[in-house]
Amino acid sequence: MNHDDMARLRPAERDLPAARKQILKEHLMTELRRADAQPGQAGQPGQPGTTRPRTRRPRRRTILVTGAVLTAAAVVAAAVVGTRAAQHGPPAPTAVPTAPAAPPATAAQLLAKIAAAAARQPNPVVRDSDFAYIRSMGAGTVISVSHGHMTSYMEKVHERQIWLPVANLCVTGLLIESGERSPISPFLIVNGKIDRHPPPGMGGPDITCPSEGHLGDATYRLLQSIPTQQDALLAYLKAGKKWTNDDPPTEIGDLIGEAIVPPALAAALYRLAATLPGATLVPHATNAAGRPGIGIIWTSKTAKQVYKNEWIFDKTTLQYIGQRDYDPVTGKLTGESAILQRAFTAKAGQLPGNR
Amino acid sequence: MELSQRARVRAGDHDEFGVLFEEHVRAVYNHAFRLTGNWSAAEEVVSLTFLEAWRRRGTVRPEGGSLLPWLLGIALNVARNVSRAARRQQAAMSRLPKALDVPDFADDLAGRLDDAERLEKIHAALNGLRRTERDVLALCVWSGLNYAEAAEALGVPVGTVRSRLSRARRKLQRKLPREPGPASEQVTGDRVGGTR
Repeated sequence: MNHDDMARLRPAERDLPAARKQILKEHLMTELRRADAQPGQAGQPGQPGTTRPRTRRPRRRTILVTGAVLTAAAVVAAAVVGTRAAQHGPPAPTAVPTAPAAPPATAAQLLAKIAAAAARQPNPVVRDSDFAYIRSMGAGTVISVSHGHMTSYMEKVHERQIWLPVANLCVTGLLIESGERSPISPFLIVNGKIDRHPPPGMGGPDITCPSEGHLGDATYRLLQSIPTQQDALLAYLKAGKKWTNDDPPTEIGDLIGEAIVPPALAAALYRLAATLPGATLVPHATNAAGRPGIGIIWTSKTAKQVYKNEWIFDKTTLQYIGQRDYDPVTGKLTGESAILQRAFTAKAGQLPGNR
Repeated sequence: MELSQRARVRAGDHDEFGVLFEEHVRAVYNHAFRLTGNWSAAEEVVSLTFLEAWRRRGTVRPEGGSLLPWLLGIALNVARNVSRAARRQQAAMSRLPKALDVPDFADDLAGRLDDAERLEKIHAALNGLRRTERDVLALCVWSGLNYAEAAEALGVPVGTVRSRLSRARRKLQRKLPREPGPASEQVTGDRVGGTR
């Protein structure tokens, strides 16, 4: 076969069926209106339809139904310390004696304390076949267009549960949000079915299975392998631009957003964050579940967007309890989350404690 | 002064995107099928391609001809990184009504199998090529772009397109038995070394 044969073997062209074409076009036009209506994106290249991510790493400016690290509900885990379940459960938050006698005066001081608290957390025992389970509450901005009229409103805060494979991205995970179940997979999902065998080089995932993932889609095992030394970590985050195109504070926010982060890495990330510009301390912050905490607001700028994002921590334990996103122009709340529980489970769809 | 299509696309004119869709949806759809070997996947690539085109509208150069090469270039990336593009556009894609699974008529089914078989053969043949070489083949040989258009689609110099294409051609000749077909200059068993 040569290239002329290739031309000869070219399949006959066909048209999209007319009705289908109409649906695809209407969908496109609706998404464009949606994109234009996205708060905080005026004058920025649009990102059509990023209000309801179904993946493990919701980007900024999207609905932020995320969360990670320890939570009030992780007390559940504390109750089973010493059992087999506990070995695979989340590390219980160690009572942190750093409830600030003199409250930290700057974001950097607070981040240093948060890093120290993270470093004291025990390392969970995790099997490669496990899933990281994160239960959170959250809401994002919903933009609806009907008859050319656009309205936007904050969703009702609702529950989100996600199961992410611990060691191999190619293992299918699960998301249950507002009662809707969706597979989490790097593979193309066509009509609800995962296509694991697209022709070579033609539409497969840009990873080789098995894979621990990459910065844009990291497994627990990958997180364990990320360097924790300051310079190396910063270089690693910057190199990750090819996956995510975000600046380091945004990367860190996304990494901790909905994941179980190994204590050493969590500590390193917060220590690094303490050295980055753009952080402001917020003495009184509240997560999506109404739990009060202390916050760090980041105003960061990437090539494409300006973000205003708040990380929220428990005032006493200094554990991460959620995030809030704001429109950088109007200051309006556009997304929020609260972490309720995190644990390792043996199967996707299984609740912690049922092993 | 009447703005060019490129200028209107850059400015994010919705109507112009509608026009762009009407003009090029067929070409993008067929290109996507040839890349994926699957008509439903091709639909998904079409949607993602236009959404990505919107996202990247700022990259359209003010001067130039048809925007088809630009769209086909985006479609190549989308088809290759479908998981990433889908992730980026996941919310949008979740709002796309699912295609109905209408049973094929017998003729049509035969046609589909035939096409799928051909593609399988071709994709197998292309296995030994570099991705960049496959891309120029897909653009120049299948979608009929000229060197300059393929260069625009891929964001590389014209000379690079030409050399990739000739390299791809040489490799195909060297590597594969000749299909029965029109008389050819093919030398079977030619194992002249080259860049691999």
